Amino acid sequence: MLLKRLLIFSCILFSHLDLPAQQVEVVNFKTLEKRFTQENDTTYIVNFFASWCAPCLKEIPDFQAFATQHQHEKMQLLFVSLDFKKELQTALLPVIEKYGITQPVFLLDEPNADKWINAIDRKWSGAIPATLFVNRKKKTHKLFSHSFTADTLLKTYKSI
Amino acid sequence: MKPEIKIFKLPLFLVAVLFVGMSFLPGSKKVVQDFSLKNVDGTSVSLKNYPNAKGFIVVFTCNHCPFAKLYPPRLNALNEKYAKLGVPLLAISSTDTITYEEDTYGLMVEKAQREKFNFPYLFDGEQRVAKDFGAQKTPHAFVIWKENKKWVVKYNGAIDDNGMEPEQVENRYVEQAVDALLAGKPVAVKETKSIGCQIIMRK
Repeated sequence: MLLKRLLIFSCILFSHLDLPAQQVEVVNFKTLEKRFTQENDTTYIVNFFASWCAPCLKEIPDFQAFATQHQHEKMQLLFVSLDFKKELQTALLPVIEKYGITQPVFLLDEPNADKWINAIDRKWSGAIPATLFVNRKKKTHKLFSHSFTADTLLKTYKSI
Repeated sequence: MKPEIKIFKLPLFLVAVLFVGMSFLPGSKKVVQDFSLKNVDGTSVSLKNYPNAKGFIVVFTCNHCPFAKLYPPRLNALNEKYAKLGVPLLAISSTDTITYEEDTYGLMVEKAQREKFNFPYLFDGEQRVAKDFGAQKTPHAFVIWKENKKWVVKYNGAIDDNGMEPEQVENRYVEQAVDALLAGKPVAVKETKSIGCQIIMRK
């Protein structure tokens, strides 16, 4: 009986691991920052979103398409989810699946946003959607606190 | 006639931009204007309705935003504590109701009843008050104080430093600001940042 339960339990456990769970890395800000502040000439596009943010979800397909079109360039798209950690399975993973997100997704686990929002940009209030463009070689570090369309995304990328 | 109007408008626009820009310079005071907004009980609410208020806690919030949803019990507690000390709390919803149907007036009425709001929950359908305050997201709290018959912003930002886990809160920013002002002291932390749902301004 116990063995059976254990078997069912592990089935449930592993079936979850089969989902794109590995794709989401739960990180603190320090770890996340390292990911897009590497000293190279890659342009990092860091999109802050959450499963509960409707305008964020609306722009995901444009970001995805953009990343596919420019995948051979020195460009890396990173999705940073501000979902609540306890809702990773129930809210974030379904979004990743629905939109077929293939780019890296991080869940930022920092309860006190006041500590890291200023490190991204002092003028940012913390409202999402927001997208950060970083290119260390070009000394670019720009945050845009608004939604993007395919058109404005391309224009902004080209201006970097 | 038309070109003349254009020439006249441009400098005026520049002055307006400069003026808005200056109001955010460190050391300068941001002043907000009184307003008249419809409360969930059908009445109109203005700051001038509170002749004895020393200040207000104004929280831009809404129905739909998950971060805003974490706070109603804490807003009730704030109003419970500070209204009797002359600093009532007013909640304002300025979210675009075209984008978020959940934020329409009827549903605000329902939410206020269901969650037993002990404070006014005001509908800023034209988003004028949000623009005047510079409210960016929900929740976005402001502490304003009466100085020479004007309403001066003394604090803006997060309500406290942990939305998700109220029991883990270390800094109650709004309370700290109000306590300081009631004691006649300067506010130590004048601005904080927090995640929230952007108040999308209708163009």
